[in-house]
Amino acid sequence: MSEIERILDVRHLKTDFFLENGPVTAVNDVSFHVNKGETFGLIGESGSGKSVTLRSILRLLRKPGKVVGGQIIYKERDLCRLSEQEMRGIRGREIGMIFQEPMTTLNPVQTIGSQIMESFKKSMTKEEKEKRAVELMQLVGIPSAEERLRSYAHQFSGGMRQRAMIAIALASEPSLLLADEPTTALDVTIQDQIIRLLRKLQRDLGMSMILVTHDLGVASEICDRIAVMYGGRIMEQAPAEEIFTHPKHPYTYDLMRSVPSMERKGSELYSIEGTPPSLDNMPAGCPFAPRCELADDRCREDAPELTSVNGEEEHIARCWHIDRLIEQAKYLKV
Amino acid sequence: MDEFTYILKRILQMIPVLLIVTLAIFFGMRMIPGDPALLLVGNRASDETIAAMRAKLGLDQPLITQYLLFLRSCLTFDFGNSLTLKAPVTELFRQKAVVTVSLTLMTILFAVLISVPLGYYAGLHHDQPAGAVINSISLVFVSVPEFLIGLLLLLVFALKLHWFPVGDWGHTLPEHIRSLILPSLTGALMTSSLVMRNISDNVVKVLSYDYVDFARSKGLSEKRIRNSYILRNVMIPAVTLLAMRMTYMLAGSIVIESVFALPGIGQMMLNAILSRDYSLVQATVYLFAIIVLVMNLLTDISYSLLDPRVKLK
Amino acid sequence: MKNMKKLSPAFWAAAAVLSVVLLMALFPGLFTRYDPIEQDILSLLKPPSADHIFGTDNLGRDVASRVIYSARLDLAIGFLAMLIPAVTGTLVGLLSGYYGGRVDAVIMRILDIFTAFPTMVLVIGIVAILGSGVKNLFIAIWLVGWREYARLVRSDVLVEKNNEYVAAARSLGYSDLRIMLRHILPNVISPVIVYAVSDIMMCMLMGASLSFLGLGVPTPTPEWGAIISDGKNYMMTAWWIITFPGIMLALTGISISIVGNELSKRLSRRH
Repeated sequence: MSEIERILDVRHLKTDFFLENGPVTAVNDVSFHVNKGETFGLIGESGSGKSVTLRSILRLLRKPGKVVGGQIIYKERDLCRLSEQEMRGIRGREIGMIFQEPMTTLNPVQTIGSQIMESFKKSMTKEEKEKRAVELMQLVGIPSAEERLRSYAHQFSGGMRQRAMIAIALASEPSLLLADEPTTALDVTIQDQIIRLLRKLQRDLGMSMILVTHDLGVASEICDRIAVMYGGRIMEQAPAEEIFTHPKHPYTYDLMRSVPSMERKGSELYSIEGTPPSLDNMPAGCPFAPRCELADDRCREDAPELTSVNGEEEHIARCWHIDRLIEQAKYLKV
Repeated sequence: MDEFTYILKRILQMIPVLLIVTLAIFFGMRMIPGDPALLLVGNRASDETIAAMRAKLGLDQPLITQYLLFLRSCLTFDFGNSLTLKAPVTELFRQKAVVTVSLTLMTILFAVLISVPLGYYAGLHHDQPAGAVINSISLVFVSVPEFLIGLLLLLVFALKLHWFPVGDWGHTLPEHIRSLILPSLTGALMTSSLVMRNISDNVVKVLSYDYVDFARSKGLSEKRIRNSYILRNVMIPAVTLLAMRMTYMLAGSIVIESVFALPGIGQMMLNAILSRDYSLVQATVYLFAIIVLVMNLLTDISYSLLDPRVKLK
Repeated sequence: MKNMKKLSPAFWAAAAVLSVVLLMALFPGLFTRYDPIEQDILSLLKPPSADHIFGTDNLGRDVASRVIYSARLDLAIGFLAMLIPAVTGTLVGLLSGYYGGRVDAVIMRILDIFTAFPTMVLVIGIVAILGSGVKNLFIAIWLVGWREYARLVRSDVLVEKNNEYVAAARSLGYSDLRIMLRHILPNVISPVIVYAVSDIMMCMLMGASLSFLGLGVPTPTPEWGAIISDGKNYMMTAWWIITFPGIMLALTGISISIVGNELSKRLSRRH
């Protein structure tokens, strides 16, 4: 491996929602990058700002949300500065996106085939378009694709709809795919199929991907590097292996403990006490402090910065107690 | 094939409904106190005249025979002559239907022209003053009777400004159209208020669905998103509502034709009711029922054509 | 108290209009000294003046007094025409939803047949068959108006009857009637009330429209639609005859709609 190419570089992204009682910050000073050909995971509970981050990248925020600061550098261009017209050239062709709920993401009154084909170049003939659409549907594993071309979303099962949605997103061959909880609405067995499909597509097509999920199992299967978000901030970021074996942030650690796993079968499942803070009522210090077992007065008053763990550049965490955690981790087996 | 069976089934289902309609018409009218023959010939008529009129109306026959005779007319669409207008009922109905059907079509046209752009705009700006203003206006037009709006339009645009004729159906097509503008505008205002609100609510709903965001994430143009994503999904319920309002408009024509003195079915029916021309009333009510049933069927068929999720079964 | 504050100015204006109309309906004598039916040959078609603030009509009757006395009949038509179908429709919906099975099937079948025809078509059809007059107007609306209530209540009862409290009430041995009326009904009544308010408006407009056509209230009974019907021939020369009842009718209709809207917002927020 020679030089690693960064396809996306998000720097100090800040997204606010302008509500009646004033603006609230949903994404606060979030920075990360995605390398070419890798899958980057953004994980966290709902309301942590991970989906808003994703929508901010493609500028698909709904009112009253707005990016108020930072840069989103994609292939040396800052997406925040592009005109709406230029942005349209980025969407689909450069960066595609798939969503959580396939039922509401597909147009109910348009055939699946037509939803795939409307992304193709106008210069293609109808036959070429249909041929390519069938190929795409086969690629994502939709059986008897030729007949399914003229089907509507309601005639598909949940898993097939998700596959169709992926085919549509792939139609204009994006270099980067944003996946917003792509498996959450599906049955467990189908979740697994979709994850494997995404991994296969990503490898075969050399795509980069950002996967947003609250499901650590999903993230562990597919992500190369992971950032954990909480209260609109990144709490910890590290290569996937590292973060799963040596979590350095109490929140990451608690998340891991609350996932059922084979090894800990039988033992009682951990659950984090309390609820995530609401955006309009953020704690003054560390956002996780009210729920953290290690929190002290400093945590409640001062928000920690992201600092590197053990001097490793790749592993950073936002906690005053990183050292204590490094100590503790020796005794705790996750 | 499925569609064909469905339509056939629906047509067959109309038969019992129409049978009930004929029963209701026939026995309903027989329940009214007073002798229709007496009403027609007047109180001072001699017994012979009354008896002759009774025979002419078939009232001297047993009730069941009378009903069967009525049923035969319903099946053959031959209702004999109107007593007051002295012409075949079916022929009268056909002549007047031209006016009423044109009125209804033009009303629909106006309703679409008013409600689609305004409803779409109100939906996009539902949280802004513009949306609130449009919604308030629609509330006014739903709460004010059509005859009042009609009279107002008539007074201002026909009687004062003389832009439109009063009670003159005319002889040529442009004249017909001109005489229909105010009446159809009157009918369209209430309907567009309802449709407008429906469209506006649905725009808000559709915009909350991910498929609009998904379409944007594909890099589609705003025009394409508007046409094949937002409008198509919004128009399906709106078209159904419009089709349902169409049957209402046929009945509403009785009010509007009366305000603007248009010679349509509504006007004819009103006169028949007021002059107690029973054969004409019976026939019009029955034919009206058939039109309503057929339009209901057409509505369902068009709904299934528009919305792939709806299957005729 | 907090809720009271949030009521819009439009609501208060509407409530004020309706209070005045209600007072007119209850005590018309407080508002005018003229008899609404008495004719005065010496003052035909007089424009508004200090004597007759809304002028007089073609028979020399005081328009103001006719408009004021109309309030009683118009409100009565709206309210009574709503009330009976609301009660019967609610009961039918309760029975249909609660018992389900064959009862429900039969009721739904009847409902289907009725549904084929819009309300206006049926009312005019029934009035056409029965002849004009207030009594027949009521009969027509009563025969037709229950459908929407039955449909509303039935669909809610179908959901509501699966709740635990119904099973609990049953296990206590309460009668079906008691369960339906005391336990289920309070939980399904909100949409009925919302619909009933707008129904008052629709029935009032229906009554006024039929009177306008000459199929409702007979002359010389004062009723807004009937006054407008009589006055429309004098539209050019005596604008006041139709203008004032027109304004009253429009204001009352709009006010009921505003109150109904506010009510539906409130009740839907609570759920």
